Amino acid sequence: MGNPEFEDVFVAVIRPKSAVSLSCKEYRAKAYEILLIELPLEGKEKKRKKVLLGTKIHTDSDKTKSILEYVDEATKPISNNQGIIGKRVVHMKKFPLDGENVGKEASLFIVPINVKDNSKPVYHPGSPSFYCLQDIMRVCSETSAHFTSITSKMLLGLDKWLAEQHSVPHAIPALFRPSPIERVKTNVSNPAYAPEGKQNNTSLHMGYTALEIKSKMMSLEKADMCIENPLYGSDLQYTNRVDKVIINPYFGLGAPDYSKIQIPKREKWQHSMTNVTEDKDHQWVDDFPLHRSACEGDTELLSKLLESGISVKQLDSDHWAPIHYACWHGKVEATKLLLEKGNCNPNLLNGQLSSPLHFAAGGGHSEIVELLLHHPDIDRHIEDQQKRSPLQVCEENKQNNWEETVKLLKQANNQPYEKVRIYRMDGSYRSVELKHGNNTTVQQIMEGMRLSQETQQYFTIWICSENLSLQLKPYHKPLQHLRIWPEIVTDLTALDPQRESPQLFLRRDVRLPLDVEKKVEDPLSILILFDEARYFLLKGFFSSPDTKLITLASLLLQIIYGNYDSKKHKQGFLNEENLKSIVPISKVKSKAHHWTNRILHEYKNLSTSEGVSKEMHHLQRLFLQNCWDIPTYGAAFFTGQVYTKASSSTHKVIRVYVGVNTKGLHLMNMETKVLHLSMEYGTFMWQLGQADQYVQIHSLENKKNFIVHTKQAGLIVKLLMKLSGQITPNDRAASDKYAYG
Amino acid sequence: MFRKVKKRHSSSSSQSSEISTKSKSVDSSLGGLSRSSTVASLDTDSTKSSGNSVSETCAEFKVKYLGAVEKLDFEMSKTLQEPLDLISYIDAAQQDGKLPFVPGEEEMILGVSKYGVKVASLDQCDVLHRHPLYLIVRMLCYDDGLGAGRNLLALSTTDAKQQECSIWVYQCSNAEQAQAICKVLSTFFDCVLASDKS
Repeated sequence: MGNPEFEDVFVAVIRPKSAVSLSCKEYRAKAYEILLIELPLEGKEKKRKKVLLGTKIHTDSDKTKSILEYVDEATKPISNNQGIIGKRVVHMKKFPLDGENVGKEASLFIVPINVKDNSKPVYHPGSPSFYCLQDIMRVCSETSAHFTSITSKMLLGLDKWLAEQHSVPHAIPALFRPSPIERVKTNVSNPAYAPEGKQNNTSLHMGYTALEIKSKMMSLEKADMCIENPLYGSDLQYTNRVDKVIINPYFGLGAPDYSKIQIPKREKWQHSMTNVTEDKDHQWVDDFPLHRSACEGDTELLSKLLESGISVKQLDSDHWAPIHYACWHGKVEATKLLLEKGNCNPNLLNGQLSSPLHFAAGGGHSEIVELLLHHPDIDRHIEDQQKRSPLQVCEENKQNNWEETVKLLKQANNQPYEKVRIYRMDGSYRSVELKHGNNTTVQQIMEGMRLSQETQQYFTIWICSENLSLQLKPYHKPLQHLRIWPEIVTDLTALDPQRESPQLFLRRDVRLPLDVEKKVEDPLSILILFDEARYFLLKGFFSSPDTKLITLASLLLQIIYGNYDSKKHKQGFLNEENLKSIVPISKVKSKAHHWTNRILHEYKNLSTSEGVSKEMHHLQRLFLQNCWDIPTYGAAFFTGQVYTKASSSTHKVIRVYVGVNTKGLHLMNMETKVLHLSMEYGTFMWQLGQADQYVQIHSLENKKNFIVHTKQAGLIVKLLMKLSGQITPNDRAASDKYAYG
Repeated sequence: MFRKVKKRHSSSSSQSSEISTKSKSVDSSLGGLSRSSTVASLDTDSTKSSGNSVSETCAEFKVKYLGAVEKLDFEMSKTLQEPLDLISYIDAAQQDGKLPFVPGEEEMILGVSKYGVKVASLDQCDVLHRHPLYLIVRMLCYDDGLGAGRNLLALSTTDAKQQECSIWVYQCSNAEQAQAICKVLSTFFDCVLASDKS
């Protein structure tokens, strides 16, 4: 009693009276029998009490085994010494004890046994015997005198428990099912887990120890192959970009004529299915041989292709030009060929607005960077789309020979810039630094001219060759115009581009209103305007009456030779040579000889006149004053042709200058310099002809139409619109290719 | 609900087996039996030469899943080393309501290969359990005792660190199938040792 190693247990050995009761879903106590022991009550001979089988078992023993052994032993007397073998031991629950064991608990175990057989029970005093459960439960209560109190409690608990079990499907059949020993069939043990106790190094299974076997089995778990997704975790953004879209061009056109449809050869489409990217590459090689040869540095092929006249500006499907490939892949000779033989623009941008210098710097190809930096047209301050300089790109990428490249790029910043000559109409020029190589804009050049703010606004940069003059816009890059001048000439005239050598000039802005010009007082501005006016006068572009020309000639004499000197300036002084510098070339031979007296006379008057200031810029302004009312003053001249019907059968072609200025439109015979027509804005209408090949002019005064055929028709119309006030400076089209901002 | 099965047996090492288990389906227990006899004969020979050797095959059976008692303390597994103790334990678990007496209706494919036991849905798309061979402690086949002649397959497994053990119970369609599964597994235990001496 009280020994911690022992535990009080009670055992309810129960059996069904028949097999049928097992499958009954309703609980009826009379279907079961229970094993109880009758004990004599102390002091009262006749009174007996029934109790459940009870015993003490070791707490740490195998309870199931102990209890089954106990049942076996206890039932031997009543069944011919055979003992009853319980099927299993089911723990029902614990009950609190009373009396001397208050505070302790005892477990009730249920031991189901086989169905009641027909053998006659043997009664043995002091031994247990079976009672009908129903009979027992009828007299059982907490205070029943037939049972001990703990037995009563347990019997009531058992009754309730059995009722519960009946409500669970399969529970009762499972309770009375055969013991495990009768049901076990096959047992397969893993040799890697040797049974406890037998585990020692000597027990081998097929020559292996358990540990060896386990490691062998574990090795099966190792992967034969492991493929990792290289993009996993790379933070690449998922894009559902479409690789290719094919639209059925025939959709919606109705049922086709199937007899006319030819299916391409199987090899062909199979090939194209599997090798789309390869095909793309092939396509590229075929379509862009110059790109490929530049990419591979194949100078021989490159040279041949350049000779065949392939354009170095051509962009491929990725919007790269050949020079970008050459620079990116570090092909020095190829780059050199493209620049020298191909006359490629060293600042050529690709579709992503990166320049060759960016590519070469990014790749750390110092030799190419050096080559590019020595190119006169290079823009060493060029920026890419992200506003990065080549130096930044180089330092970011750190490729190949980047350290040397960085050095070169830094050195380049200290090198003097290439210069360009900006001529004035008197033949003088100023050299202006090209900070951005051939990317330098008109605006930047104008800033480099070091003119005062006032002077700057009257003038701008023109590009002029023998027979074509174009005014450039502030954002134009004049050096690029110089580079492509032959193309422009071909575009706008029928002239031989080879004979037109362009130069940049500082000239009057065609848009300058006369009102503004009349207020100009700055001597330099007056000088430049004067030089230009004199040039146009002498070239014959100022068509005016003889008296005007004579006045202008005498003014020029005063300006050139100073005050009249009767000893020097005699009749013979105005020989042909001198006349050339004061009268229009077209008049020198025909008329000027008759004018000499009058010119000298006016010259004399001018010199001796008290009221006229002899300050040079005053004289020059006086000259300009005389020019302002000439219709063609300040005009931009275009060239074209007019067809006239000389007779009914033949028509005559007249080559004309079309002058456009702030006053209006003027038509001048190119050879004779005779002004055919001069119309002010508001007195005529114009219309651009088909394909910009001619301009139709309609005079409102005499209702006459005439057509000027010229490739410059587009430019003429644009300038007319601008100067007539139809286009305000604000909505100028940014796409204007050449001129007249 | 004991039908709740884990989508994937959380084995500590479950990388590779799905890759190479490939076989003809062995639905009848006889197929499994005849195969095992072949394996037995191969045990003595070198199986390296035969490309499609038995060690690469996988025997498949249709079973129903009864339930599992997972993550028992490993000490517990020592008391369940005797087959009868294991049955008693499962019986008691059933009586306590921890395991059902009968499985659900859904059939599953139980595949046995040298990589272990894999239980998947009928279309083989959903792997319910995977028991790597080296973690299987024992497989026990016994009658469920409910009178219908059903045979249960109890699989006791451990984890890689041998800290816990689990018991998985499947119901076989008949006694022969249950026997065949045991036989095939037994064969693979031996086969692993015979196939590679390295």
